[in-house]
Amino acid sequence: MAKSPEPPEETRDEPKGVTRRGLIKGIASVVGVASAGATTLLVEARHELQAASGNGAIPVSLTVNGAARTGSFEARTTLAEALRDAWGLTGTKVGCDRGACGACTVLLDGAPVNSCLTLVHDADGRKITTIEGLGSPEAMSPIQKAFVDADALQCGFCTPGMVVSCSALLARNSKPSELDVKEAVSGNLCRCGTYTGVFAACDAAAKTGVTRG
Amino acid sequence: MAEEKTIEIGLAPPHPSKKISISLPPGDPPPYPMGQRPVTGRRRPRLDGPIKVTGRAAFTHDARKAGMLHACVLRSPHAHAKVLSIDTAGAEKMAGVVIENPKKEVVRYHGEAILALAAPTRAAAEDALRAVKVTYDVLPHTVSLAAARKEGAPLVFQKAVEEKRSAGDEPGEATKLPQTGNVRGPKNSGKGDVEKGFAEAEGTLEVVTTTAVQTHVPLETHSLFAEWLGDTLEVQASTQGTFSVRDELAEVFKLSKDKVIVKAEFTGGGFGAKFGAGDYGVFAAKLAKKAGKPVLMALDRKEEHLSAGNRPDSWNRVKLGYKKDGTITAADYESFGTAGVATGTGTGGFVKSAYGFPAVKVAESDVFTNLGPGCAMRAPGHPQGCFAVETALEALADRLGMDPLALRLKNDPSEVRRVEWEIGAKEIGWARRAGISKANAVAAAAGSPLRRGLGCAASIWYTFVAPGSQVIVRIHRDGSVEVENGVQDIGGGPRTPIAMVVAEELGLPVEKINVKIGDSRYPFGPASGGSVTTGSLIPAVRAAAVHARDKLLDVASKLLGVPASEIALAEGAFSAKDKSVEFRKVCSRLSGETLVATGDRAKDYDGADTRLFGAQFAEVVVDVETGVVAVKKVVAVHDCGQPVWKTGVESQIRGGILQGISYALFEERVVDERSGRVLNPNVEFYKILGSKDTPEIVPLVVDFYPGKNNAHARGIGEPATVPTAAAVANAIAHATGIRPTALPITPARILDALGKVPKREVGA
Repeated sequence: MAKSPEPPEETRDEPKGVTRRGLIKGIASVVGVASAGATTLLVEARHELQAASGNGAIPVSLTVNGAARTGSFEARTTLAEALRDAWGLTGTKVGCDRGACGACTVLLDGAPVNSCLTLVHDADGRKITTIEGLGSPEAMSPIQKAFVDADALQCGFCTPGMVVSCSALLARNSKPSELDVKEAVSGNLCRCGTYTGVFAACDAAAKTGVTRG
Repeated sequence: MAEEKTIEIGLAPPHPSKKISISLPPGDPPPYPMGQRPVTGRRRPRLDGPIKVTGRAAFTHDARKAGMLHACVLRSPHAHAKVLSIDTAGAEKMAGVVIENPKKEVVRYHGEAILALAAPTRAAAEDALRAVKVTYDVLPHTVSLAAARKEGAPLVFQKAVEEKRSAGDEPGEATKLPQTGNVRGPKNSGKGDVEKGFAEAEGTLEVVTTTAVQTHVPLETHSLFAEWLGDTLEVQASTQGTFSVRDELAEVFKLSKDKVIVKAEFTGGGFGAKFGAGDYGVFAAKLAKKAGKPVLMALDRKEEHLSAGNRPDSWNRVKLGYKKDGTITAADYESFGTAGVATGTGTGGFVKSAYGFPAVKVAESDVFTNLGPGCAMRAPGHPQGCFAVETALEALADRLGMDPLALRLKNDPSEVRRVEWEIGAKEIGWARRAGISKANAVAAAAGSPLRRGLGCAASIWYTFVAPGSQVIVRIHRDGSVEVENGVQDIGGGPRTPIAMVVAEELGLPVEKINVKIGDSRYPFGPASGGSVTTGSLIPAVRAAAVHARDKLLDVASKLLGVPASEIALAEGAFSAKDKSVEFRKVCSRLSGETLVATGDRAKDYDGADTRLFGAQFAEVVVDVETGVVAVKKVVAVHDCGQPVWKTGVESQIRGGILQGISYALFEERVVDERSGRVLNPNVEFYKILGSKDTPEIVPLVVDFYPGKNNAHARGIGEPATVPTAAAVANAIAHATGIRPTALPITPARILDALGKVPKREVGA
């Protein structure tokens, strides 16, 4: 379980080479967001990345929820795709596929990241914690239980990302204020309107005194 | 034989109630008597919470099966075009690609589907999509309400358009209306003598309001997973209507209903946009058939915005005739709205139903544009209509120098809502309003930019019932209990109230009730639209549970040697006087392996007004230098009969309010008039409310027994969102002295209204 409040210095560096975020930024700034439409750009970005790196699948090995995972993926494959399609970890959701909704939030060496904006090859050799790794229905983590108790969920689709963000918050700040919670989940969109429940859940989980979210 | 019975309806004490006589439908238990429910009506965690918070709930997006394909749709980049040619040769050469090309000839909006294909991975499908070459002859388009209404505007349709309806619309027949240019209508309706009403008026007041297109933005995009098992089509759908998807697929593929299986255990939000199978769903089923493999079609976020539905925009004109004491004598109401290539933009429901206006005339027209189809969205037409009417009332209160709440009470004959106004006013501290006005003046004089304001608005919605809802309760010899209904969970969380009702009747803990939903092989359940789910389902659940209990009582009666009428069932035991027998033991003596009891949703009997009322109050702080609005608090007082699961009701109210604030302040689909393209089909530039915009919310539910069914059950999803935007707008008006007449109320609009935007010289 990821306990360190901050990832080690070296892992916080931007991964070398072409990143998906970099590509999207680059293309968006050149073409302009409005002209072609956002998703077209994304498809183009993926295609460019694939074209630049050749077609073959490249092996990758990382740790997911404490277990070693290996696979061979095209350069363009995102961490979200690898988790969901290759390893069956569908608890991580894809709501927008461009880092705007936070449903795909996972912990990368303890820090919350959008797994739809992280290439699986950039996670090579690193430790991933997904919603499945935080707890199970029979053994929920304190923040998961607090979500249930505060009814901090409705349809449940944004919930895994929301829980992971809150878990990361509690790991780095055992007594967060409501403002801290608002900041921590500001990248997690919920359309059902569960935010007040999320604030209450974090507060309740913090009061249990268990540092691990 | 129907049994005559006297029941008590109305608000619980201390308010007066009333006794009425009803004909109890055969086999239906009498309604809950006032104040006697041990389990239902309480707060408790939702039963499916643990699987949702741990990522184990499998949504349609999560459907994975060996050999499956991922599907994508090729969509029009143009607002209006003839399709000249479609070359799929490049895509056909790619490994594992199947294509479904209906050979579309004309596209009428940016994002309209042209063809679909499927490939072994999403990335491969996207590659194949890039390889399809389409040539277009671009046609003139019209994409704004104002432009489309003009004479000589490019026509969206050459022929008359017939209305299509979904389970999210208010029930009723599709209407035939005149169509001139792009304008379809007006649809005229109303009540009372409007001419007489205006003749009696001592003054008139008119306002025009506008609202922007809002998109539903369910976090899970529209999606469908299709697989053919022999001649049976099995799908998992992200839907608000298990059975509406089944029926549509059966019709499209000419299958009998038993040959279509629809599963919808978890739906990642809907808000009115997810009733049918959709063109994407039909594509998925066709591709699955062609490939002989399972196919997952999940729209991406851009497609969701462009093609999967929206709340139409609106232009509304309200004219009120009034007496100097604030009594409204008549209302003349006109609306135009655009649902793109679809119909159903009317906003006149609120003015007709919300208050006691004696005479109302309504004319509603749809205006076609080259944009994606609008559809039902949480209380269709009502947030728009509420904003228009409540803005007019606020302006009238100003003109008459009346307290805005006093003006509303003057025109509100609803006993229930009058109580709601009173509770809400107390909770928000309405008495502070005059003091806040003074403090704002002091702040202005001192050069401080912050202004505070209070506003209120009324809600109105209606009680609809989906007929035919049925529930099965199965009790096994080991004492385990299953409840079956095909209803879907779009976030309202029906598993929990279903379990609570059964637990109450069987005297068992709620956790012991195994609720099975989201499968078309279970008995029919309502589509989640029109706030019908609770009111349609819960009485059937209770009937089934009571029938099961009665059968168990017969067994217990033999075991205990006392008549069933003397036996009480509570806390897992059947007891009579000094004797008692465990629930499990009674079950072990069942004559068959399983006791099966069914319950039907009986027809409504007599009871209270079928309208759902509600009153909301908002407190805001506006920074008049930046135009930024912070909503501080919303108090919402609603009635929804007897809540079964209070936690769920409160969560629904919170959600309705947050969507309402989002509608008031942020949401606007932006379209480029020249290209006809939508500029913000995403969640970065189409702003929805987030954590930092969330205020304190106080949801309150009045204790109300409306009768009509055995559980006094009614919905809450829609009424909770109707008045929020209007209440926020009125609070902004109080804070700043400006009157917002256009949603969303952006900082730019506030600064403009405050005269703080420098005017550019024309031609400079």
